[in-house]
Amino acid sequence: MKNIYFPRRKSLSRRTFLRTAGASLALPYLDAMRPAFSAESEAPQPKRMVGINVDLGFMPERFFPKQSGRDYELSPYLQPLSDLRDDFTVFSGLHHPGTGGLHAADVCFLTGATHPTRPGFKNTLSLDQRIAQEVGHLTRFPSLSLRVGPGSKSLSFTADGVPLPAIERPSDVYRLLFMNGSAEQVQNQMQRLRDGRSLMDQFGDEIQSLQSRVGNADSQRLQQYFDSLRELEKRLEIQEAWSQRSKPKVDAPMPQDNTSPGGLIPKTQMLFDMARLALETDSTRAITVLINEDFNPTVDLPGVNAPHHALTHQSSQQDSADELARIETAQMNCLAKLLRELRDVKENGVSLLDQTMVLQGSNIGNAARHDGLNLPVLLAGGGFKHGSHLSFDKKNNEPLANVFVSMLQNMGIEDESFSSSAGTMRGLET
Amino acid sequence: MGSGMHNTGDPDLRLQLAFTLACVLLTAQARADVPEQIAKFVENNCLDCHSGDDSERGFDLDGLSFDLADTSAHDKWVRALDRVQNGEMPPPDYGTVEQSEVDAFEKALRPRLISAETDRIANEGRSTIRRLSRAEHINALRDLLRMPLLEAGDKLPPDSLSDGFGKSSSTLPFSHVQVDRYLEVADDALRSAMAPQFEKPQAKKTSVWLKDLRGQTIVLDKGKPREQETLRLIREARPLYLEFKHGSGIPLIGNERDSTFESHPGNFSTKKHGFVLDEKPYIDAIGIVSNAPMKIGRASAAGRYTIRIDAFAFQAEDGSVEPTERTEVIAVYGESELLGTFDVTANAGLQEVDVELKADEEISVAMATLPLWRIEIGDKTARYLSVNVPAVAIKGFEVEGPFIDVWPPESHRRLFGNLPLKPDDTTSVGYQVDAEDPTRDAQRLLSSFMNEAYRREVSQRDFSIPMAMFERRLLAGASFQDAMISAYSSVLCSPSFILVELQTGELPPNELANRLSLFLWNAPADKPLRDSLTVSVASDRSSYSKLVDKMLGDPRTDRFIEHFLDHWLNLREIGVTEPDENLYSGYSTWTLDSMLMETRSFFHELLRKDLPIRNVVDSDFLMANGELAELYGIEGPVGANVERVNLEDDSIRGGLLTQASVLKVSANGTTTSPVVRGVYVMDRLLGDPPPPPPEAVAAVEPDISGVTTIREQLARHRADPACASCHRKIDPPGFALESFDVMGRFRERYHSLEKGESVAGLNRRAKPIKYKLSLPVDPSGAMEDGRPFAGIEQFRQYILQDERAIARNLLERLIIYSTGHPVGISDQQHVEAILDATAESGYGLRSMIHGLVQSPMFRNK
Repeated sequence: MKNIYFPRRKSLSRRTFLRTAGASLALPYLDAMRPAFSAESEAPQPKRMVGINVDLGFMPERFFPKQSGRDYELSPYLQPLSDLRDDFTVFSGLHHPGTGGLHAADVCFLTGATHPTRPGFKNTLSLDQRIAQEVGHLTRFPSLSLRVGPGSKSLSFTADGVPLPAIERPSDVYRLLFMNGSAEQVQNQMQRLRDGRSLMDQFGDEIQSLQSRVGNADSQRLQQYFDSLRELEKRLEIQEAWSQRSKPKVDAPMPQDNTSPGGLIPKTQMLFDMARLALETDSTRAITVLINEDFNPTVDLPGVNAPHHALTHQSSQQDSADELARIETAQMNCLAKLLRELRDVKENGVSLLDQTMVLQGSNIGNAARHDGLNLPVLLAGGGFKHGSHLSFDKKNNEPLANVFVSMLQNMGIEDESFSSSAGTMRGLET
Repeated sequence: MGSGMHNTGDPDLRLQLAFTLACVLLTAQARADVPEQIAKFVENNCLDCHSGDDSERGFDLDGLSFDLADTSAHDKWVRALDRVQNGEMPPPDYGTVEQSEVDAFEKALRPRLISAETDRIANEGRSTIRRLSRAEHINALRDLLRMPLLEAGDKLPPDSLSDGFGKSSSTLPFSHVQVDRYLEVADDALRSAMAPQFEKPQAKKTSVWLKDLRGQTIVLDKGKPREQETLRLIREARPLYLEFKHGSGIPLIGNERDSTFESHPGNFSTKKHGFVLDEKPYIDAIGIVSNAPMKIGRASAAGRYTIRIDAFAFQAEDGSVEPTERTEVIAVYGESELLGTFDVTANAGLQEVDVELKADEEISVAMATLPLWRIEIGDKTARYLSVNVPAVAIKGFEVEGPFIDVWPPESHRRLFGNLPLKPDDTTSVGYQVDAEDPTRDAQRLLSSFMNEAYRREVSQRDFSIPMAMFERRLLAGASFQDAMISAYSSVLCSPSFILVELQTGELPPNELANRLSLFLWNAPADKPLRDSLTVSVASDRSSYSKLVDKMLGDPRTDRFIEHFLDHWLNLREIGVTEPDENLYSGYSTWTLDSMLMETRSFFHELLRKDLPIRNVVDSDFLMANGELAELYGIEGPVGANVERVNLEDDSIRGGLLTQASVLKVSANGTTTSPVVRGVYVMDRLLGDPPPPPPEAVAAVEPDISGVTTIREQLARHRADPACASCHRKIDPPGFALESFDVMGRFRERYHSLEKGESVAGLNRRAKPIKYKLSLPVDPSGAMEDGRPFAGIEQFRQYILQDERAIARNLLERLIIYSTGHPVGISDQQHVEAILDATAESGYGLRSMIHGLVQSPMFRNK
């Protein structure tokens, strides 16, 4: 049974609230709902994250600035972000130890799991799922996984290394987020949830009767069991409430999917739009986007003639490098647009960008050589003190997972480590 | 609160003051409760350092309560007693204590600690109620649903292992996530237990014989391959086609290479396809030189399949076929494990193996013992022309199945008995289970299922929950089978299925059966076991022993062996690092598989033959296959299967201590560290773990440039007296084991990428070996007490002088594993009693297990 949770301590975006308030009046009044609806002004502003992996990376010489610190000069690829300069930090000298720079490492970008090419490889918990564990129950969707490009890959992995399927079509995302199911579907779902609740209730009684017959330590363990059953029961109740509630309505129309194999740029743009809408409506707080191009399409852009993946392998030739730069610049423009639009949305008077950490990077540092060192990474928004180029040793890289720990802590999750981290990211303070 | 903080009228602050005062009083009170002899000893010998907030190591004896019913205070007093008794405390630089004083202290303290613990056990039991662990949960589902290959348990959150095994209540907490997953896992498992379709799937045969592919050549049409001509080869034998295309598969006719054959790997960046071209297409085998797995088929439905391979071994010498003396191994892999093996010699022919496959499972084969991992794709010249390596020729292969004995399968019958199926295309499975009287059928089926699942008599109240679920679902319009799945699901996430260790005091037979089964089969007891463990068996020592012997003979004991070794020796992490291919050659997935096979069969041998505990450290035999014989440099075993080999008296091998698995898991992929290995051996094998390193001390990282050895670095580290005290204990085993590299191969010189003597040969990618032979290894050292040793042989003799300590370590681990609780101060008498009773057998493993299952620790909760 998949759980989708209702907010308990969160402040719904005012706009979402107003749009859906009509529906909520018809609901039975749940205790669980009270904080979300009454104490809105006291609740802290929620943080969110978006993790983007561009699987073919970026040409390092055009991505990394030459100087480090605050007064660095924008590199060619950072030019499109010039008006956002104080809203992001660019990193150099980061890697995932033991992951390697092969294409297969794309699924390790948010997990840091090692040796993805080895037989029997099993992935580990991804950053967004760690976040979903903590705050997933506060929104309708605990997390959202998206992918540009064909295939079945995803950036999101459960603690057991099981991938969460990513959605490729923007229209499917739109349907999931904003369109309601049929009355019968809703009815079936609710029946299942109700059955689950009644089970939890009966098991609870069973535990309590057991408790009266055992010693201290046993009783404590049973109490924990009992509390877990109660907690699940409450969550199922919240979930039932969600399934009765209409989904939020947005002004944006249903997107028209682009099906061209070379449609990298419009596809990226549209999925980024969906991600933004999901954040705006507080439908979820953890989003991943895998941009998957290793199937080697020729990108539909003026002046680009050779297949994308092939270009990355011949970027030492000037004309190939120029073609590749057209693609990569267009990709950076997509990011800039997303960041700008997040900046312009205000939530309780605060820019949504300040509440949203957007991490873009790649599992490949140098695609020509399949190098896993010096990954091109930047982190925008989220309320960090941005505006610098944080540069680390090119040979002895810092773990990228340090950035993840900083992000977790910024979410209010008090983790000290994640994957291969050796602490938080130095120089990335709030 | 904020501004109220400085106001003395603040109620919180007053409360805080009162609390502080209470603590002060409590301290004085606590000390007053300490019996005088103990208090005096502590005051005279301990309190200078262990008093107040800045106590040494945070161990404050002054404020320590003497309320021994409080387990945390009890644990601390036990620790204090241990330290004093071992002579570790007070430390030598503090001053000496008269032995009589220590004895008096012990005499006063020990009985009190024992009696407090005995009281607690009488009231609550040694262990605490717990849920099934993840591994136990999935095994329980496998046994109950008759689905040995079920994998649904992967959805359960992983358990913590803070007790070393994940078998204690404290490491198996509940959470809403856990409880939620129970529902999901039960539903998944039940649905996969149902027959997947109405008709029994028919066996099919898919064959690829190279000689039959003749005539399907690929011709060039204006410089381009006509692609449809390649289809037959690609469709039927894609992996072989790729091997050919990339120039790493050798086209063979009989014992000759087909010299008219051309391969073109293609060009990725220009999107130019590769192809193969043969003017006189006439091959009957493909020579394979690498151990990379090849996919040969997929199971259309779950069931038993026969896999046949016709192959022979040869030496590929620059493209020519030369005879070989070697026996190669073809390993057959499913998606998650090794399914079977073939031994292949120069004269081998058609062979077959039967395997059980899950629906949709992919089958791969690997020429497991070949040294190359792959030959990198090159240009027009076939790469096999430039190597001289062992190879395997494959004439063809065949996958036939599924062979299914009964339909619907047994797992389905477990749920629906013999109720007939009625075809129905509207359901996802294509049938309806036809129940004439749904309610009565549900009652009958559920009651049999619950009797097994709940491991006890089922009450009317137990029964009402799934039955109500069934009726509710049926009423809501669900089909009989869907309503039954919901009802079964409620059984499989019920507390009665999930919880174990329920009853305090002496275990009644059904609980005893459970404990035995969780111990030896890593799953709760099934019905046959509960039926055979009657009251009379439980109360008769010899019938009970016989039952345990019978359990140890069941193949499910392998679950115990694997799970126990995975945790005791940390073998579950053996694959976390891979030997750096630039520094070490001769490592493959098969090497790893063989290492695990060795250690598991060795432990199995100890268990089966009740061999003495000294075998942990030294044995006169090995359990090895061809791969390990090569790694160890010993004569005898060939092929895939592990067999018992007697060792020469002067062999450096013998015992778990020098097994490749242990040496591999205690190293990383690049280097060995005497510190890491030393801690591993002291803790896991000898049961004498050194204290954790002080914070803020940098780890000593081995230097692979070939300039300094790890010993030279450690020598500098040990010059610091603060470090020396612990390293005197940690380093000796680590030094002795420096004779073995990261995968357990004997070495006399370290490998380095920079300085040293070059080595001839090929690495895994068929490129010249990069590493050099560098500084010599020095495996000598001195024991903690100063006795010097020259290397592993002498070191091993020293530790064998205390076999009882090695036995005690293993026994104590078995106790945690089987009872979910560590050995307490009141258990020590039982532990020593088991050791006394087994001393004569040299502390045989099986004898110790028998002693354990008879002891009060095991027979009582």
